[in-house]
Amino acid sequence: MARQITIDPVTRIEGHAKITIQLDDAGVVSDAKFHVTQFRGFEKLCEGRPFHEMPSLMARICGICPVSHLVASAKACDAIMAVQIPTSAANLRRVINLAQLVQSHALSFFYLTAPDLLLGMDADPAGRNIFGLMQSHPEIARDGIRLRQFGQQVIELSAASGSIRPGSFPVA
Amino acid sequence: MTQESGVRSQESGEGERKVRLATVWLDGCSGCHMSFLDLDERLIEIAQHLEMVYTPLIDVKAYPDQVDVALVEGAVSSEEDLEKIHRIRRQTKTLIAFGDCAVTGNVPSMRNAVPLQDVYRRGYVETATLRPGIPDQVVPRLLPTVRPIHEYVPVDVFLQGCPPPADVIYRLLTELLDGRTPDLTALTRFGR
Repeated sequence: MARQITIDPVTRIEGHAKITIQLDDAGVVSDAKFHVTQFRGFEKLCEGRPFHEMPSLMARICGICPVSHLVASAKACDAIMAVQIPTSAANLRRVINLAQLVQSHALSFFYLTAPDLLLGMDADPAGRNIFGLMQSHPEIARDGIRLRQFGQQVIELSAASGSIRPGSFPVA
Repeated sequence: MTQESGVRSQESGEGERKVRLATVWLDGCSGCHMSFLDLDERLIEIAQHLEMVYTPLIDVKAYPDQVDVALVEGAVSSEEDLEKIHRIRRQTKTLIAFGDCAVTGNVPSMRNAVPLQDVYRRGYVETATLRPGIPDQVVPRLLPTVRPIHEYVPVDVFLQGCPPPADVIYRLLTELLDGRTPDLTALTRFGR
């Protein structure tokens, strides 16, 4: 009998989504959709605003990868002004971007994915998460937390150094 | 100044009753949740005293009943957000508007200056390269304007910031776990 399987919400991802899978009468998948259930309209809400507001604003596209959006926006501002930033500033951008990779990957791996790998895909969903990992694999949980913390601290220090406007980042 | 109210985790003979905590993201960027995770190892510490009953970080699909404390990030922008915030309010004791999007609307509400059809058209038609078209069925419909949470339901605690600093989140949670609802305005004043 034809039916639909719905996964709503998709959890342990970095955003809002749901998945629907259509099964035909034979129980074979006839269609599958990934629905992105959030839309803010950054493409439009930025129009008419001063360009130098954009790096800080675009950082708010995502709290996990604000650095990527901010640096991309800063580079666009460089292009608008037809300037080339000094080497040390470019290097600082590289450092802060790499630090973001560290914290973002640590989040994705240790907080979101590791529970599946360490506890098993078929483990009880109630414990198959970072909080369950704190009980079952406390040292790995702690290491993952501290790795992400390292990335966050380097971001904060790099932002404070001045090449990117202080206070532009949503980091604690 | 702290007020006696909120949630109490009671000491009993066998052990304390754990506070049922939920976190939700509506139309936010997850930056507030990241600030929450910036508690770092303090998260391990407070996790001993609470039961995480719903959060994007775990696999619970339905918002449960009898939630003691809910940290709700994000503004109300779609019909789905609206339905969620009403359910959250019904099923939660202490509702915290978590971060500037939840408190004032903040970035998502910047689209309020533009007619909704223009917002849709810019994102789904003018800047789209693959199958341009405004979705009207498979994703939640956007509300005409974006509003903060308190315009739809009563809010118990307002935690400002974009995002609120991790230290303030930690302070708030430890106070709530001790049964007090703190006044955070001195800690979240602009410029801190």
